[in-house]
Amino acid sequence: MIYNMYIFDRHCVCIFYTDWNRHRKSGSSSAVGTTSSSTSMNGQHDGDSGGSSSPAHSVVNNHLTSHHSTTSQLTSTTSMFSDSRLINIEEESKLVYGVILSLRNFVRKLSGSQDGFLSYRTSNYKLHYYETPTGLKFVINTDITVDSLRPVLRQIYTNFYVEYVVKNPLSPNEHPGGEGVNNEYFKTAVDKYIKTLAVYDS
Amino acid sequence: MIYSLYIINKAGGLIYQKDFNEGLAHLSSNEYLVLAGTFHGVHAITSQISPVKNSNSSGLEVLEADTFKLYCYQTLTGTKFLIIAESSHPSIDAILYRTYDIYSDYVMKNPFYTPEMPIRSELFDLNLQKLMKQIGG
Repeated sequence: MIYNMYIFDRHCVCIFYTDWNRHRKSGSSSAVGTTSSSTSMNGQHDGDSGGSSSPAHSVVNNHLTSHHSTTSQLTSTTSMFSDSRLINIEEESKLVYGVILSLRNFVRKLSGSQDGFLSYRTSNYKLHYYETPTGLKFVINTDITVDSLRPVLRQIYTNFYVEYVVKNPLSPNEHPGGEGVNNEYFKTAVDKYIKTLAVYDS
Repeated sequence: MIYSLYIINKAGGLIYQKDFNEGLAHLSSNEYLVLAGTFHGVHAITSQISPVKNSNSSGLEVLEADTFKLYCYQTLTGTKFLIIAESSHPSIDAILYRTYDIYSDYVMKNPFYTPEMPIRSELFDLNLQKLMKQIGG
């Protein structure tokens, strides 16, 4: 079972997030990475229905047409957790980044190799890690029975990230505002590829 | 082959560290303390970021690196036993429990030991050595 995937750039920004098998309440498909303003996130918390059909959204739509895309993004990112989980995706991605960075340095200290950290597991999930030489970090969470997914993460990097994001002249190579990889081709390609894997929903 | 054993108290302080075999970098005692503190924090966070809904995850249990595997066993009182072993080493769990037994017998039952403080006990060292010899580590 594959749960979710994060991509971090070398400045600690989560530039891509998507999840599978997480049974969210809202029907929106894979959401993009983090968005910048956390104050408005609290205000959007009740809007669990997700899509732009809710009345609150049409009001926003009328008044602030330019801001519409960001608010609907916020709704889709905050509504993906059940009521028991109170941390939102932005905070969660920061925690994940902190964990992988600490563990990477931990392993570096002990083994002396640059690319030593492969994965860790707890009692109910396993986190796989792959870092490119340029400092991009690919993280994928699965259940604990899955073997190493590093080849898969490498595939995603070489076949999809490089092809659709790096080779796209319009995509920014730094993401200071936290807008992330907003690329339909990349998103659908990753989604399709993950769904072909035998471990996807086993 | 077992490289080393760390014992971290419930506050994140390193109270015991011993290398049994060569293979890992040697660090100063200060750096070991920092590593233990880092691990303590990471262990707490890993139980919070579980992607599985409505279930309580434990903290980190196994960490895989290219040259070693780290196993962590947290006791009910919050003390953490860390064993760093070769990647191919089988069945570390039993060794972790045995280490906990030895810890209970020779550290906790020692009336002169102050809880949460660094462990300086000859008998504990001796029995650990014996255990490591037994398993051929």
